[in-house]
Amino acid sequence: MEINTEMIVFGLALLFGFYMAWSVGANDVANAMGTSVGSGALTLRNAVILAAILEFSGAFFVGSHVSETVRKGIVDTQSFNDQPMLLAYGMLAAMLSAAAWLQFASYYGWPISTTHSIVGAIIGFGVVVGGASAVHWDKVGAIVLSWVISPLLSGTIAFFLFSFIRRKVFDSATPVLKAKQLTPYLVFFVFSILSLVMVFKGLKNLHLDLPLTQALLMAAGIGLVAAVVSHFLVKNIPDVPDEAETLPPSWSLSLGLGRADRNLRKALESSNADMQPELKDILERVGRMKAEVKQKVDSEMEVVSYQKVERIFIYLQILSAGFVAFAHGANDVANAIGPLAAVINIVKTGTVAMKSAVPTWVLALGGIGIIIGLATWGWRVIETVGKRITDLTPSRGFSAEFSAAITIVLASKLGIPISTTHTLVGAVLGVGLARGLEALNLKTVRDIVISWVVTIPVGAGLTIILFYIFRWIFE
Amino acid sequence: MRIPFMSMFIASPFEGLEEHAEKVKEGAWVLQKAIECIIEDRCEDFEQFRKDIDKLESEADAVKRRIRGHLPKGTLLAVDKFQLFRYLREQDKVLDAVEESLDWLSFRAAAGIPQVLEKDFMILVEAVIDPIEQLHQMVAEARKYFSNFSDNQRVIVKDMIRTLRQYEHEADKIEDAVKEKIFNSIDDAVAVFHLIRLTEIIGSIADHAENAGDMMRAMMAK
Repeated sequence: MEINTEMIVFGLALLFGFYMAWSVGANDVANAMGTSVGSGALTLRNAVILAAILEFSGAFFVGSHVSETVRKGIVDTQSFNDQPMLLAYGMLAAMLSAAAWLQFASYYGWPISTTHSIVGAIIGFGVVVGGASAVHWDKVGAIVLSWVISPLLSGTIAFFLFSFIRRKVFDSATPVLKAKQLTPYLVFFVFSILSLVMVFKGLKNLHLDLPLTQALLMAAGIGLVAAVVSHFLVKNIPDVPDEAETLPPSWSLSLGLGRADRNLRKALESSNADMQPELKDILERVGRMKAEVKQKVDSEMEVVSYQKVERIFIYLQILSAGFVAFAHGANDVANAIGPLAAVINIVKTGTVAMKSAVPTWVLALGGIGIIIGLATWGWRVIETVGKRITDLTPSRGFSAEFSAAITIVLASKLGIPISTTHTLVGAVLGVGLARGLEALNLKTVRDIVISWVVTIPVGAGLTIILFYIFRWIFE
Repeated sequence: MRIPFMSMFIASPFEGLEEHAEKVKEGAWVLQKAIECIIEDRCEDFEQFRKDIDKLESEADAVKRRIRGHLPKGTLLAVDKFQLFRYLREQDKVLDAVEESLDWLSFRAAAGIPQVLEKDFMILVEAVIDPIEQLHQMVAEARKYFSNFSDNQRVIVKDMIRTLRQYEHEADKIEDAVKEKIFNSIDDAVAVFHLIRLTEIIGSIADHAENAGDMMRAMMAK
C-alpha cells in the first residue's frame, strides 16, 4: 500500500511537472521569438527550431541553479525530516495549484507569471504546514525583491542601449555606416556575456565550470571571434544606396531638374535683352521645383537608409532573440523541475536530504516538455505575436531583447526565479521611454503590479487547500 | 491565450493622423473639381460634389473619433496627448473649411462665379491646394520622425513646415488680390458679399493648414 501511494505521487509529480514545462514552452517562448518572426528576420519554422534548440540548452545546461532554489531554497526541507511525504504532497499541491491558477488567469488574459505562482504556492504550503519558521524568509525576500528589480533593471539597460543606438546610428548623417561600425562591438558584448554565463561555474553538467579569470579570458576570446566574423558579414553592405533598385524614386527627376537649371543658366548668359525676363522667370520656376523635389529625395533617401539600418539590426535581433530563448529556458525550467525534483528525491530515498544535485535526466525532461509545448501550441502564439507586434523593428527588438536576456541570465546565475515576461515588458518600456516606440499601453504595467500582489496569496491559498486534499486521499 | 507582452502594444495614433490628412487632401481635390464645374456653365454634378465632401467629412470624423477613443489613460506617447488632439482638431478644421466653401457656393449656385473672376478663383483654389498637399506629406514625414527621433528627419519636417508657411503666405496674397478685383469689377452688392465671403472661406483653408503645421512644429520642439 505504502509503495503504491509513492508510485501514484511520483506519477502525478511527473504529470504536473510536465504540464508546467509544457505551459512554459507554449506561452512564454513567444516573448523571445515573436518579434523576430514579425520583422521577417526569421521564418516561423526557423524560429521554432532555433527556440527549441536554445530553450533546451538553457534548461539543460544552466537550469539547475534556479531549480535548486525552487527545490530547497524557499522552504527549509529539514523541518519535514520526520514526515518526508508531507513535503512531497506539498510540492505536488504547489504544482497543481500553479498550473490551475495559470490556466484560470490565461482565460482572462491576465499577465501573471508562472514563476510567481509556483513560488507563491511553495511559500503558502511552507507556512501552513511547516510553520513560519520553515520558510527561508531572507531568501524569499530577495526573490520577491528581484521581481520588482528585474523589470526595472532590464528597462534601464534597454533605455540606455536604445538611446545609445539612436544617438550613434539614427542621429548620424551616415546611419548605415555607423550601424556597420557598431555591429562588431554589439556582437562582442552579446557573445562575451553569453559565453561568460556558460563557462563561469555554469556548465556543471559538462564539467566545464571554470574559475573567473579563465572564464573571462575564454568569453573575451569567443566574443572577439564572433565580432570579427560579424565585421566581415556586414562589410559588404554598401554605405550609400548605389544599386538602381535602392535609389529613391525621385532621384532621376532631381538629376534632370539639376541639368535643366544648369543649361538654363548657360542660356541666360548668351541670350539677348528681350529674352532675358522670360528666361529668368523659367529659371525661377525650375529653381522652386528643384527645391521641392530635393525635399522629396531627402526624405526618400532617409527611408532607404533606415530600412538598410534595420536590415543590419536583423542579425543582431536574431542573436538577441536566441539569447532570450536560452536565458528563458535556464530560468523558467525551474518552475517545472524544482518541485518535481524534490518529489522524485523524496520518493526515491524516503528522506528529505537533498545533498545530491537535480538529476540531469529531470532537467532534460523539463527541456523536452518546453519543446513539446513549443511544438504543439507555442508556434501559434509566436505567429500571433509576430503578426500583431510590428512596431518592434529589429533595432528596437534587439535593444529590448538583449537587455531582458542579460537580466534574466544574471538572475539565473544567482539562482533567483524571476518572471521572464515581466522582465521583457520592462525592457520594451525602456525602449519606449527612450522614444523608440510611437505608442505604448502602460496599463500592462498596472496589471503586472496587481499580479504581483494577487498571485502569491492566491497561489498560497490554493496550494494549502490542495495539500489537505492530497493528504486526505493518500493517508 | 496568455500574451501579456502583446497587450503593451497599441495602434499608433500617427497612423490615424496620416489617414485623416489623406481625407483632407481628397476633400481639397473635390473642391477644385467643384469650382471647375461651377465655372463651366452647365454644372450638373455640383450636388454630387457636395455629397462627396459630406462623405469624406464623416469618414474623417470617424478617423478622428477612432484616434481619440483609442488612446486610453496611461498611454505612453512620444508627444503630448493633448497637443496631438489639438493638432488633429486643426487638421479637421481644414476639411470643415473645404465643406463650408462648397456649402456657401451652393447658396447662390445658379449665379455661379462671374466670368471676369473665373481665372482668379481657379488660381486661388490652386493656391490653397498646395499647402494641403504639403500638409499631407508633412504628416507622413513627421510620423517617421516620431518613430526614430533622428535629427536629419527633424530637419526635413521643419523644412516642410516652412514651405507650408510660404504656400499659405502666397495664398494670402492671392486672396487679397481676388478681393480687390471683386470690389473693383462687380457692382451688384449681393454678388459682392457672396464672392467676398467665398474668397475668405477658401482662404481660411490655407490658414488652418498653416496652423496645423505650426502645431506640428510645437509637437516637435525638443
